[in-house]
Amino acid sequence: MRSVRTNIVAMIFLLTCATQVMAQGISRPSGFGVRLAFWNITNQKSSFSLSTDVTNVNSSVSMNGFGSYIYYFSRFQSNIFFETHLGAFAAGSWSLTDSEHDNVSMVIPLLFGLRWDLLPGKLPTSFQPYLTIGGGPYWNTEISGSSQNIVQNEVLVETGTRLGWYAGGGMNLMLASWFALNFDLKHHFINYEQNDDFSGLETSLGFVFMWGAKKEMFRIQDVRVVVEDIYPAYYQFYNSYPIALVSIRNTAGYDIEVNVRSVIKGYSLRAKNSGYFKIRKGQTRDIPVHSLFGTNLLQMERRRSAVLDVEVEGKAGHKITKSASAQLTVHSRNAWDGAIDKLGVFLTPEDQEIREFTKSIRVDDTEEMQQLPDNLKFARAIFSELVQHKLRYHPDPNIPFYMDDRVQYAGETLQRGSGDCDDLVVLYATLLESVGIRTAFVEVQDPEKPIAHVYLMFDTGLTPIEGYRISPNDKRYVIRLRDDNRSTVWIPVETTLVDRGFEDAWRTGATAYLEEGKIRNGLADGWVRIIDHE
Amino acid sequence: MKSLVIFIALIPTHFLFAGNDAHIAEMSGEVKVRRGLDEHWQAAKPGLDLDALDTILTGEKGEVRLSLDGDVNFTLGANAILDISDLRRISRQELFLIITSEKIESLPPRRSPGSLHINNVNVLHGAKKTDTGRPKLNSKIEREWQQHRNGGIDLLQQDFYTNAIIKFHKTLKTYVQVKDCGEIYFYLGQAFEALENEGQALEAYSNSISENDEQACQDAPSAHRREKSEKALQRLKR
Repeated sequence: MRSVRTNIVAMIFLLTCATQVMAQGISRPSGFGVRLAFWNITNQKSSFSLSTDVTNVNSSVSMNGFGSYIYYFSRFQSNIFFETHLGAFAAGSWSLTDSEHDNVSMVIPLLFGLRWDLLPGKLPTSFQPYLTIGGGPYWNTEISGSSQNIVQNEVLVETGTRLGWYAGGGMNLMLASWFALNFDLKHHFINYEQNDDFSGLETSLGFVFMWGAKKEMFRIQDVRVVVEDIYPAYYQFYNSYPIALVSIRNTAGYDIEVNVRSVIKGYSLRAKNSGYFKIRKGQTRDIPVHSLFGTNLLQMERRRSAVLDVEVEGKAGHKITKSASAQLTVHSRNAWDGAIDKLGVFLTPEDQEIREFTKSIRVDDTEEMQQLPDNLKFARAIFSELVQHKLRYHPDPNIPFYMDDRVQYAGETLQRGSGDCDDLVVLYATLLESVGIRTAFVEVQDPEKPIAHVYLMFDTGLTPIEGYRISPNDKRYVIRLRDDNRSTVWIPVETTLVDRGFEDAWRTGATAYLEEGKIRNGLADGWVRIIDHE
Repeated sequence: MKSLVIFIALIPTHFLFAGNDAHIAEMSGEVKVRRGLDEHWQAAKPGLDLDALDTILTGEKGEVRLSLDGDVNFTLGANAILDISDLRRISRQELFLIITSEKIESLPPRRSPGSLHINNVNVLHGAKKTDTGRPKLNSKIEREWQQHRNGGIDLLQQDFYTNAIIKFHKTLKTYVQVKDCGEIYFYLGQAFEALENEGQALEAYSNSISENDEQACQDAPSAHRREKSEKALQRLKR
């Protein structure tokens, strides 16, 4: 007895666990089934009796409502299905000896109803209990008479149709996404006449085949690439800024959680997970996709195309994984998209080569120079060193569409001995930052000029009323409010004048700032912008 | 009526200096000019042409009348400093953009330890800009502050309201450590009120009162200014 019980428990366990792959409720939208059923139409006991005595052999058979169903269902919404049943039931009693008492009742129900699957599909089980309700016409035929009388046309046939309804429940046991065993229990409410009540319980057992597209937990609707062009110089920026958005629709009919794993093969350090985002049933959510880049990206010598692979894992009791991809372009290490607020990423003040360069610079220690603040002394000395190196301004050539606008790193400009305005600004800012002087870029997009320009300003560290230490003319400097709520004096420098010395570069930078930024209102109108960087 | 007042208020700025032609029409006393980014002052003389980047300075008894674009005059009184570019045409919209872009309204607090305190600032709008009752200022910084303030007051008195606002803002920004008992804010309030910019005027008068409400600001000019600021606040709130 104990082993039987153990076997039953083990079987249930195996059925529950081993078929988790089908555990998404009824995953297919349509199905067709067959059931064998028992429905006690006439409210009599089914029996077979045989009795013999000396003179007679009496035998009778009484059968009270065996039949079968074929049925079809189709998903209405989520866990609710339309059902159509066509059944045939027969009940009757036959006496093999008493031909006067034969009668047969037949019921043919055509039923339309709804079925509600009770468990959300996210439960990892293959058992799918449900409730049903519906109704329809029940055709009834009753034949009574005897077999001899049938020959003599002395048979009484009564037919009728009544509308009735049913309510009940049952269970599907999913053995595959397309096949399930079915157990069903219904109570029919059908009363033909006052004394002819067919109401009663019907029990059936059968199987069902299902077809149609499997119901999905989620759908990847779109992979929208936010950053189609990957610039190696901004690699740290991409680690915190999404490069794409994956639009995911929850089609499960219950809340799910999704994690997006992304990688750009050959470029990413490793795959990056978005972490789990909850998506409510029926909702669509954009999940940001990040990529994890490292300094390896800075080895890129030329522009190449790359593929962003995303793998979406949906979770709700069980897990489903889908993938998608999108194409990107990875540019060369010197490529720049022209966005001035990102020019700062080309600064490399920590580079050994830069540190050694600034370390070797000697600050003029004359009495005149001693009056100046340290930042100005250093800035002047660094600029003079660049003049000594015979650095030259050399504008970029016209850039064809297949080439990137490029910015040289400070070390490259020092080696080449020339650069355009952005190269020289990057060089000078890098050198200043390497000795701890804060810098900012000044971008000028003069509406009256065809091309934009950039120069820089640096922080002297002096307060506004100490400005006289730099110059008695306050037009030569700019007072800026720092983020620590202190105003300090900054000096604009036109770095393209690297061959003419610091004084000229300062004077030209200050004049440009006043004329374009202040007098022509470029700062207020937004075509002169100051971009700080850390 | 309101639009007429605005129109009248805008007339002076509308015809202001466009930056093409300015020269010294008349002068008396000590008047100096600094060219562009030069560091030295040179003596001015009548008829001298001025550039937008030039600066003009008057001594204790100096006064200069400037002719702007041939048909607008501006007189800079004694002991004042003014950039020629401060006389450029600035519309109300431009003023708003300039103030917004510089975020001048978020100036740092002017209560730092060791701040420079200037007593008995007695210059009021409509009053002669003399320093009666005020101790002599020896500090170079205080003198510069006073010259900038006086330049701003000249702009205000001659109805160059938007220019005066820019000048006062620049003065506040440069001389953060100068404690003036709310004087610059008081003039800012008057300039904004003249432009019917009630919100900014209220803010400026409020700042003036808050900086004027201290033990160190109990002299008569400060008290007079405080009284006028409070009346202005009541008037504006109505």
